[in-house]
Amino acid sequence: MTTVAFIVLLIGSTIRIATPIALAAIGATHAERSGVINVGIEGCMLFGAFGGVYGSYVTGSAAAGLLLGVVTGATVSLILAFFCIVLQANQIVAGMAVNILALGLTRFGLDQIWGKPGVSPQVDGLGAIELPLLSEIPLAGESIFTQNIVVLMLLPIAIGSHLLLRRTAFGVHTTAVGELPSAAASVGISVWRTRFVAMAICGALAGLGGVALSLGQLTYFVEAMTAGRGFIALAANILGRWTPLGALLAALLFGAADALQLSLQVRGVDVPAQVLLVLPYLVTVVVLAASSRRAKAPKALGEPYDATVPT
Amino acid sequence: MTTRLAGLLRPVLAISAALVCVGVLLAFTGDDPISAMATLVDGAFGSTRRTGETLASFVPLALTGLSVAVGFRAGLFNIGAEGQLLMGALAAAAAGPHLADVPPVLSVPLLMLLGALAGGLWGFIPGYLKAFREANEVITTLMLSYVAYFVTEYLITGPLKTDGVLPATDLLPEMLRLPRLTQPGLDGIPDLGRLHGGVYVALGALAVAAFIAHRTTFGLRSRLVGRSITASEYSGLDVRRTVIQTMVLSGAIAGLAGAIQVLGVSYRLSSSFSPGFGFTGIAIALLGNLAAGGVLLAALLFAVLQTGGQVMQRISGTPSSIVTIIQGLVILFVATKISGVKQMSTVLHRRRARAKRRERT
Amino acid sequence: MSGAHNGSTHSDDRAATPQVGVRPIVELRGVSRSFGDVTANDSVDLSVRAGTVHAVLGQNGAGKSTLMNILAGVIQPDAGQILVDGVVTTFRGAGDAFAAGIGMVHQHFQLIPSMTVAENLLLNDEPSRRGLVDRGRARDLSAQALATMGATIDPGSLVSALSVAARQRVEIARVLRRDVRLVVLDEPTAVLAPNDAQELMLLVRGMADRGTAVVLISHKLDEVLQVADHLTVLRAGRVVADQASSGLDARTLANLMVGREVDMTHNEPARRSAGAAVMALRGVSTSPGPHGPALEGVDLDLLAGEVHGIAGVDGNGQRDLVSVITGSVAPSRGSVLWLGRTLDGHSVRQRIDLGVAHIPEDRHDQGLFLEENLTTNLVMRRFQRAPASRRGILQRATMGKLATARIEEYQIRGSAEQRSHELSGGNQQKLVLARELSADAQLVVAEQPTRGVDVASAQFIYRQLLSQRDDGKSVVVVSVDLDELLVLADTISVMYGGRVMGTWSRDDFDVPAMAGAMTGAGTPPTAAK
Repeated sequence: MTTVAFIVLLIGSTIRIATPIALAAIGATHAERSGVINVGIEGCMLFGAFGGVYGSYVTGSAAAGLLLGVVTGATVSLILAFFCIVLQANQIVAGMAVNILALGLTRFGLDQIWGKPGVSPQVDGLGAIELPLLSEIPLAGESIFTQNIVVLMLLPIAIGSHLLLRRTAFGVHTTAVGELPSAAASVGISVWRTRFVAMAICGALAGLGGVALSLGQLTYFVEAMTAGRGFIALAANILGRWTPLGALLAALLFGAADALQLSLQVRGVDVPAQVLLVLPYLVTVVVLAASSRRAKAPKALGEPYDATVPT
Repeated sequence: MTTRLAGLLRPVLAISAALVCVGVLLAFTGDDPISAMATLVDGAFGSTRRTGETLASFVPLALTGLSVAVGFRAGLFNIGAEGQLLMGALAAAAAGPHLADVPPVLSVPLLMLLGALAGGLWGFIPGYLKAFREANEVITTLMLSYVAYFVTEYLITGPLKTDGVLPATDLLPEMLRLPRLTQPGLDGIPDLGRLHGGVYVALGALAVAAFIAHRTTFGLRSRLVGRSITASEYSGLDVRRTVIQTMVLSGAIAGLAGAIQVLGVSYRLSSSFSPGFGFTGIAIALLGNLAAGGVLLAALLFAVLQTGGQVMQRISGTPSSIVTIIQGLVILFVATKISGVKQMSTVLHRRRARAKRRERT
Repeated sequence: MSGAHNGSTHSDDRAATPQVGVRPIVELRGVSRSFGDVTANDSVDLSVRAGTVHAVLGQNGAGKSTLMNILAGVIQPDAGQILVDGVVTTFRGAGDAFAAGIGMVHQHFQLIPSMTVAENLLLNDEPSRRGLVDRGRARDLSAQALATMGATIDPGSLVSALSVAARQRVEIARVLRRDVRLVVLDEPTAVLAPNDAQELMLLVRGMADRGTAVVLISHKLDEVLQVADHLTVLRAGRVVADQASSGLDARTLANLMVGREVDMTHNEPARRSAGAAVMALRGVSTSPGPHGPALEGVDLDLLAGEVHGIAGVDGNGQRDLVSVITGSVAPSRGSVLWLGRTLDGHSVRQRIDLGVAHIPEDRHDQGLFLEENLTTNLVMRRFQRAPASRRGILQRATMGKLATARIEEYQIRGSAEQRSHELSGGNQQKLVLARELSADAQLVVAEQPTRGVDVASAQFIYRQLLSQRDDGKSVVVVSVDLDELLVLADTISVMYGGRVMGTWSRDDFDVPAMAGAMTGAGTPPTAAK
């Protein structure tokens, strides 16, 4: 295979593999800009992946699965939001709880619904869609411009998030709530409501990312299938400096690492599989080491807002 | 006195709430929660052998719980204890077979030390990155857990693989293994299963940790950094050094857990070495947040759940993922501040009162 | 014309105002509010009329802030009524009060530094076009709002780039543009230089003349008498005076606030001859940071047995100066000398060990570990050496004895085992003092030592600082209150823009020159003394 062909294939698979991470990363952007650290994104993704497969299994249609996955992710995120925002739980700890609950509940679900340990039966997955005209380009058309619907939704979602957060009044409110909630409250913005909405969007996107995994890249659910992607998404959001487009680019970087190791494996490169599998995780650590120093997080990130304390 | 009671109340409430939720879940899916619980408890304590097994599980859990708790004290979230545990196990399992000629009184502590060092190194990396590069340790420790998993997988299926079909390291020579507390089959002596000498090391570690926490300047420094970085800097404390030292200590304890598990139970490192000891440690640390004594009790609780859960799954078919769910719920409920619940009820109360007032006017 | 307004003996910049209302636009009747055991407001009545400047006076802890927060809807009263235009209303939050036409300008501005002036001004009121924010219109609206304040600020600039006085203008503009009928100003001149404060008072008068009701919270009696039409004095949560301002003088007001005869003439601190320089800065410059301008070529001698005051409006380099002295920031140029020898390197630990005590501006977050008990808070800076610890092991018994001794000596109301967040504000400050002043330090740095502290405690603090000086220590007091320094200090240096604009010794105190220096007038001394 020529180098050009290899690169083109790599780009295509990067986009596909980065999609779950990118969606979750953009979700993280929404949540963190409003001041809530959603460490439970990994769990929301896993629940979303499970919901997607279950929905497809029960109805026989991947579209229903997609919908269920998104709703599941959003619901889980809202529950977490309740604990963090209203009950003022430590956000990192509560997020970890969600992740552990996700592992346990999905494993439980696998057992109860299908009785098969570790993996669900195959279901109707998201079919590949050929983009008109573009998919007829030789080589690139097949690998880059033929993707499943979630991948195609990625760019519109990123742009939409950018517009929402940077150009609408709601976005300005979200930023205000994440920087100085008392200032926002003093002009009548509901800090809680803004944060709940942000968390709902975050959960929906994370759930969608999970669906991209379980119905897009595969057609079944495997125990713990998110394998840390939610955390990589958090790192992508940091690298992307809490902007949706930045998060998207950062996620593509991480996705590239993952795609690279996969294609090297496929090519039968003489390196042990685990050395390659380690790549995305190492890249994440290195990226964080290099770029965290100058990253300015929203000032009120992680601090619960006490509505009863006067300023 | 009241603060102490209140301190105990929270974990007890959290556990009860978690058990109730899980009970409801089980009832919902057709299992009888009471009998499931009974089977679990029986599985943990039903015979002396089972009790021994429970206590054997207690050992790594107490240490990983301690590891995460040490981190928490300084405000650090070490969720990568699993990876540090694996590296410690790797060190012990890899070096052990080469120390067959060294007298055990030297080699066994040496292997434990190697395990602690390996874990300490695995804790140093995220510690350094946090102190000097402000890298979020929640993400870096977890990433390094995956790295540790793949590194060990590679080694036990490759360079360190033992002869034969099993993906594992060579078995540890007999004299390097930690002695069982009792031998089965001897008349009159109760069989305590796989409970081994490492339990004394674990208890000793808890005691030493308590001493360090309450009686040394390092312990105070660590706690103050966890309370407030601003005030710590004002006080002239070297925050970076404290962060690194704490992460190294945390990793070392987890590494020690891994080494002891190899030395006392599995005698080698294989693919399914840990059923998530490191992650359970998070719940243990949160529950036992009060003191090293709390960690002991919490570790015992989770040892019961783990061992009993496995038996429960075998016998009554109730899936052991229930235990993971309990873990998650416990963490969630412990994280909730009682002040948060109070605040919510105040807000609700005020809203209702205002609505009533508006109705009247 | 309303009877409350004639016979004024005060400045003639108050013309007869036809807009002065007869009926109050906002009234508080019998308002009470407690926090736990503490009664902040006890059956308070307040009537504010349109077109008047109504001052609310009182010591720290008298209940002014609580009352204002109730008025602005931020907190709810436990008892009593709020009436707007004679109708009983309830405020569910600041938003409701805003809707009723009440706006509040807080001491700590509710401005988001990382957002632009326009975004802050129009928060929750953004003009939109097809779903997106209409940036052009936002710019115009902001420019309009700023113009009524007489401020030439670019709406597109980030708030973080503005000076304090400019930020205050933006904050007031933000409140004014919402058609508020009543504006509450909470200690607005606390952060301003004398000239800017004068301008602000003119602005306040102008607002009232245009029909807005202004409630002014202040403890600066002269200022209040200059501009207020009506006064309410609070003491320990109750109203002790509620009348027109004519015929009152500062002394009467002070007595009302404190409840007894207050000696308005401060004791002249006995002047001793100063000793050698304990610490000296030579040509010290620092790199600019997020908190304000850097230091530029600062020369300073801090002598033993002397109180050296650092005056200036907040944000002119005082933070950097304190950071250099206490060791948390290294100079990028120049050197720091201790007892005549140049210091190698810097760290807070180094300075603590040398003998620098630091009473920080931020008592809560910096000066104390709120979750720790008093014993720990008393040793927090010095526990890594004897007597608090030996070879890494804490000597708990010794620590306990020391703590008990300090608590008694400084009359701190609390026990050694209590968490410090349970103490009252005054006792927390005493705790910090107890720790820093008994550390056998040679240099004591005190930042805003009497901010938020009642008169009696302030006197206690002054006595403590002066007695340190009498013991031969070098005492540095950083304060935005020039009056305080004029009473307390033997030498005063004024800072502006990171430079020391001038240094005056007690015999040569020149208040107009100092006030001018605070706003940048005059040239800084170029050669070292």
